[in-house]
Amino acid sequence: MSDWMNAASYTLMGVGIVFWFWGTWPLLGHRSVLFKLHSLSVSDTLGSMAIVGGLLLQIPEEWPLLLLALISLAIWNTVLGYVLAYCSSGREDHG
Amino acid sequence: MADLSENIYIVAIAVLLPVTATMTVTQRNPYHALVIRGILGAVAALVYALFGAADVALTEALVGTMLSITLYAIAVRSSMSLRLGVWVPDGEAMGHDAPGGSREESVPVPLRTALQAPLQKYHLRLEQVPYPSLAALNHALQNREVHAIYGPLLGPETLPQLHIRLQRLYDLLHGSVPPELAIAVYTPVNPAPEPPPAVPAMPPANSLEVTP
Amino acid sequence: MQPTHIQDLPQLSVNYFEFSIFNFQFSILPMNGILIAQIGALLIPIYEAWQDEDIWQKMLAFASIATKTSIMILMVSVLRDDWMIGVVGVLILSVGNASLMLLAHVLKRMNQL
Repeated sequence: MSDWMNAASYTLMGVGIVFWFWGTWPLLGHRSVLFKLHSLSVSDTLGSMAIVGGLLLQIPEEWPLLLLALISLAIWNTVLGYVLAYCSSGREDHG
Repeated sequence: MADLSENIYIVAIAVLLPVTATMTVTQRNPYHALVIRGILGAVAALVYALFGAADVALTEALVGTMLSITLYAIAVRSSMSLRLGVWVPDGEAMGHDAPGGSREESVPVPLRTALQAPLQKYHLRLEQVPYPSLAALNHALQNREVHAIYGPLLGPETLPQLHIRLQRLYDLLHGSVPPELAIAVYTPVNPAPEPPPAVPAMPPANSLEVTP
Repeated sequence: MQPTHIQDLPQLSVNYFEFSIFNFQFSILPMNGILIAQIGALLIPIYEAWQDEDIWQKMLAFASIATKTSIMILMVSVLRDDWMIGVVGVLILSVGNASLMLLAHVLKRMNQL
């Protein structure tokens, strides 16, 4: 493994960790569910994708597995964010 | 010391398992406990994968978390509820009696909120079961199909009655029923429930054997 | 006091981070350090799920934990160079969210009645 690839991989993972902390920290505050859901879905998905990208640079020979992880992250987290927002905001109408 | 410092992340992840398990058993609300059970399942799958048991991790995630949480959510939702029988006449009769009323509003809203307050303390749900006539309503209470019934059981002039057939539920509810809205009555049904209807075509040889 | 176990390890191209807490010498790989940082990020939603009484906030924490643990499983699989764990991590990542959606819909129906 070349040196710059290693450095790029660790940089991507570090960026992913920073995204994780940045998106998870608002969970502790007393904000609304939708605000937390927004920050969580954006930065959690981006951070996870950055980490998986870093792993992809570490072992490029397992690219189909990690590509599947990337695709399922991008699709499922978006759908899950939509479903959670729909379910958690629908309760005010019905008491 | 080399093992601990090299594998300190293993120790840190393994500690998460008893922590989340303690969180699960200390929850009082069953729905909250279900959500924390999901967290416990995710952490357990991580621990199993960390120790190399990939098949156990997959089983924990699919069966232990997904299937069991869904089944338990449905079971808790359908069992932890107070079934309240209400009288909902047919469509045209209801149009005369309660204009604009729907099935959901057969119990007036102030009474419903007054009943829901003590039930929420025990995480119970108020589920309304509609019946077409007052006779069917009484029959349902006698047959233990519902826990309580609500309706003008003593005639339309008096206040509507809330008949509760369980002592514990009556103790819980009668203090919070507003006296201007309804009268709560403890109505114990006969202790032995009606036996299920016998098989209609009983062979005569069988009846001869029965000696009174 | 010089730790002796570092010389015993196979020679890798990466550097170790060395530090000491309470006389214990720690030397960790960068991958291990990233994993420990991930555990720290995982603790935040666990604490949130423990202290918040609103069920939707707990569901948010659950969603966050589900994603984070499956990414950590992938990380461990790369660390150990074990493809089997990696397959399980991807499966949990793609299927585990379905349980969240089912539970969210059941909870929504519960709140309507």
